[in-house]
Amino acid sequence: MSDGKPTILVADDEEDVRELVSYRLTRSGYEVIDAQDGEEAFRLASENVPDLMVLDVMMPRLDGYEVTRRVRAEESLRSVPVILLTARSQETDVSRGFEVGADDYLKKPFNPDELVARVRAVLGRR
Amino acid sequence: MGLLDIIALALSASSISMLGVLVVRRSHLARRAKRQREIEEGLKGIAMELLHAGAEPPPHLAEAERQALADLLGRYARAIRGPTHDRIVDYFEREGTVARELAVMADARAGWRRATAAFRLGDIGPVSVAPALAAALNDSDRDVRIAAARSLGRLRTPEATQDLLGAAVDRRVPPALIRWTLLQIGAPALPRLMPGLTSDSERLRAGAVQLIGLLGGPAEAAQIEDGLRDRSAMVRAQAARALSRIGGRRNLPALRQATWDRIPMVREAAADALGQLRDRESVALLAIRAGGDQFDVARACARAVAAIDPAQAAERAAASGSVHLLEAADLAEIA
Repeated sequence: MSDGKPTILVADDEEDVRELVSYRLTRSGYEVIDAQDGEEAFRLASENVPDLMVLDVMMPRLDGYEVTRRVRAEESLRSVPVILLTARSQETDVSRGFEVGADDYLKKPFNPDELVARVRAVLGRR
Repeated sequence: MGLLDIIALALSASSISMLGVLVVRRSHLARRAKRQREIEEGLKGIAMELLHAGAEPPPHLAEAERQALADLLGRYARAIRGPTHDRIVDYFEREGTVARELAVMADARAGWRRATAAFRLGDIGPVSVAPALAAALNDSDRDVRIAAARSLGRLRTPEATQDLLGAAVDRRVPPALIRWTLLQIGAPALPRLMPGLTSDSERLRAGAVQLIGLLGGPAEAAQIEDGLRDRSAMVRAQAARALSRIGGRRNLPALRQATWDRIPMVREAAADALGQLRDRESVALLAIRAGGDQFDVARACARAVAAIDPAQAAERAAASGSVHLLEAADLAEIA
């Protein structure tokens, strides 16, 4: 947490989506760190533990499921909540996200208001 | 200097000048793309404020900036939905962009221009453009029809359901795209698919059954079961496939009956459905039919037995020597 603001790590390989998510979260009072792929997301999270992670599922290098799995396996990151942002909405994809340890998921195209509401809800549960 | 030398010199000169033109053009395009990125970069704050707070863009934007802002908002529109997306739609309506794109989609001579307009309308258009997009499903150009179907999925308007069904049945649009589009619309499309079940056209009835099987649930299963008694084998087979997804115990007797259908395609679909629905009462019957001489039907029956009870499939394969049961039991073990 910096300046009392919760830090959120946003990882998506699509620049437009990353910008939209980051801007909305920044505007809602969060400190945002950006990552362009799963590997960078995991590295940045390990260096500076965020309060929450918003991860795209389909990312190069490491996908969102794999990052979540690694986060849950890493002692220092285990308790960081994860919200998956996914174009996939099949039941199996959603349940796979929960199986690897995600706390919530959001379908693309996403509703920015819903994103903020879910971030607040997940952070509120901690 | 001979004639050949002169020709060689001329060809070399023209090659060099052509190379020069290509280099200049490439550098011009690169500069233009860079300039475009710079303009977009400068406009991102304005675009974000418009999206997230409804702030109006400054009125003094130059034409290049207005175009770049439109491109940027068009891209952002693809990633979001809800009130934030509605602000983009409002902006494009106020700017007259929606009306312009509608005119292009209706009147442009080049198919790619009509297709581009149809595509953009799915991202920036209000739901009121759905009738125009539904009409574009009849366009003479396949790309326009595909773009229109995709945009109808983005707009999620159930009013276009019957047009989409017609486009799928007539193969004007790839059925897989229509399925995606209707999945985007979801359950609200169901009531508009129902009349298709009683259409005079067997292809329309089959299409309706298939799509209801995709979008519906147990509430629609009784109407789909009626399809097992349709005069068209295509409809009966689709009904069996649909019931494999949305059917339940109540539909099992009709599906068992369908394994006696005179058309193999229907028997195969019914056997698959019984397997999917894990109908234990059918195991003995399916195991016998797995030894039949209709290859596809026999294989489907064996597959169903293995899906219901893999151990029984192995036992019965050993006892009967049925190659289909043997294969299905092996596959079940691997899975």
